[in-house]
Amino acid sequence: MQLNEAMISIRDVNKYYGAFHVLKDIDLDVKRGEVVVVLGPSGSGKSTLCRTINRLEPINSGTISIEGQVLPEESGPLSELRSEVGMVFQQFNLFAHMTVLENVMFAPVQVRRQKRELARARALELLERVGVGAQKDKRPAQLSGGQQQRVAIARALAMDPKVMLFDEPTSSLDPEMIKEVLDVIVELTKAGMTMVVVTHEMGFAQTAADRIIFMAAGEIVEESTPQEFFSDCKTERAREFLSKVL
Amino acid sequence: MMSTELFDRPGPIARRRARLWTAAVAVAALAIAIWAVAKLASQHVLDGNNWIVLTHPDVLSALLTGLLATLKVAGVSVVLSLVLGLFIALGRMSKRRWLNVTSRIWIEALRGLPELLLIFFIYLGFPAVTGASISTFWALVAGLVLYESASMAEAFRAGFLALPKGQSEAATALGVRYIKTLRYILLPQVIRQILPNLVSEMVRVTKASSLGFVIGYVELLLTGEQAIEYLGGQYAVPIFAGVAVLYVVICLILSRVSTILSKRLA
Repeated sequence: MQLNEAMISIRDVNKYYGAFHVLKDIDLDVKRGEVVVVLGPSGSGKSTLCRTINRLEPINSGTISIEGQVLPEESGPLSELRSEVGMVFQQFNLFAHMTVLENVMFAPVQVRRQKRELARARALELLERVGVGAQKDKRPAQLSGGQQQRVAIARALAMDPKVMLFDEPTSSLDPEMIKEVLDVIVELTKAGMTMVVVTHEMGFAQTAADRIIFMAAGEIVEESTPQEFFSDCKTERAREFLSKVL
Repeated sequence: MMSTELFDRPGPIARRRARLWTAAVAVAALAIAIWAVAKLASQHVLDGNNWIVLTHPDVLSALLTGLLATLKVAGVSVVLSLVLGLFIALGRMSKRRWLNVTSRIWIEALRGLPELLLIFFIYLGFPAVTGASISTFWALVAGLVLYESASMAEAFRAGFLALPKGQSEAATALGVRYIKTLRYILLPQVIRQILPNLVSEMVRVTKASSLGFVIGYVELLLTGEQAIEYLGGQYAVPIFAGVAVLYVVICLILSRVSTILSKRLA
């Protein structure tokens, strides 16, 4: 693979929590516009892997680069790089004291120094796009989980990220709200966004992923297309996992 | 707003028992009050002409000057200890070991010392060590701030720890730097959360400023004391009562302000 083709490049990454080896020799490339879905049992390190990509979790060895640029060590350049990597969390993490609109405008105004009117117009457009435009003046606590998560996606998109990271975006949602969030994410895949999605939604993985990464015990155990993975996976570990979740 | 009931509703027996106790306590309280008033009256403490002194312009202006001096010390001390407390709290939560350890020592050492001792230390120690003199005002402020910064730091820290970790993580992931995360995301939520604590700390500083009288800083309490010395002992109760009312009023205003603030911040 050509170097300039890789949007995210993860090389020989190891991470420990004390003596516990969470990530073992992880190697992964994500191409521009590719949607990589990470599956695996809980405790397999998939969330941790997702969080190392914008260095919310530091790593012990190896390198992670985005568009060929290794994640900086210094907080200034690191913040700059993070501003180009959107992240959506399991717990939404909307700023509780701000309205929906303020949540989406905050980073463009404070980090990118955009003019308020400009940021506002863009925020309204994004909120409309994810279907929560009518909620713009409410506080996060007044919204359903599904609405909050869609606001969180709009907030990440407001920075025009090169990459979107989804860390179990539907895992804390009521069942009837999962679809409305997944629909928004699927919409993004169609728009050509480069994405890494950690999820337990097998239906989503099957239809939206370009590639499936299956992790267990801190290792990438299997890497294949959705068709291959769901119809005929190569490893016993993955077969066992699928028999439990499907 | 949902209200939580901490107790089961009382049944008929419990209600009867409660009524009985209420009546008994009320009778006892009334008896004590009557006895106290009678006692004070027999000592001529309640004589109207003693209390008239509170309307005397000289006494009034003296008390108001004292009040102003108290407010000055309290105000400066509160602002300084808020700022210092915030920095110490941040240091206490820092991952840098030297910062963390220094802040912890600061908090543990200063919380454990009586304010009076700190004020004496500074008032007598500062000139002894540096050779420069220190005014009673700044000695008092320094003593109060040293003690209070530790309490404020702990209040701030509790507020930061109570916030979900996701708030700062979300800001970090958006590329927001530490200072802005603190200023726009964390502090507004922390302050709202700990406002009742901060107000009771402010009330405490205001009251503790009366310790200034031991080093001769003329604040509200010392003003009252001087007035009594000048006018005579029969005016002690009325003047101290006046002083007490002023302290209570300051505290009432502070808690009123905090109620308004927390409603506006909500």
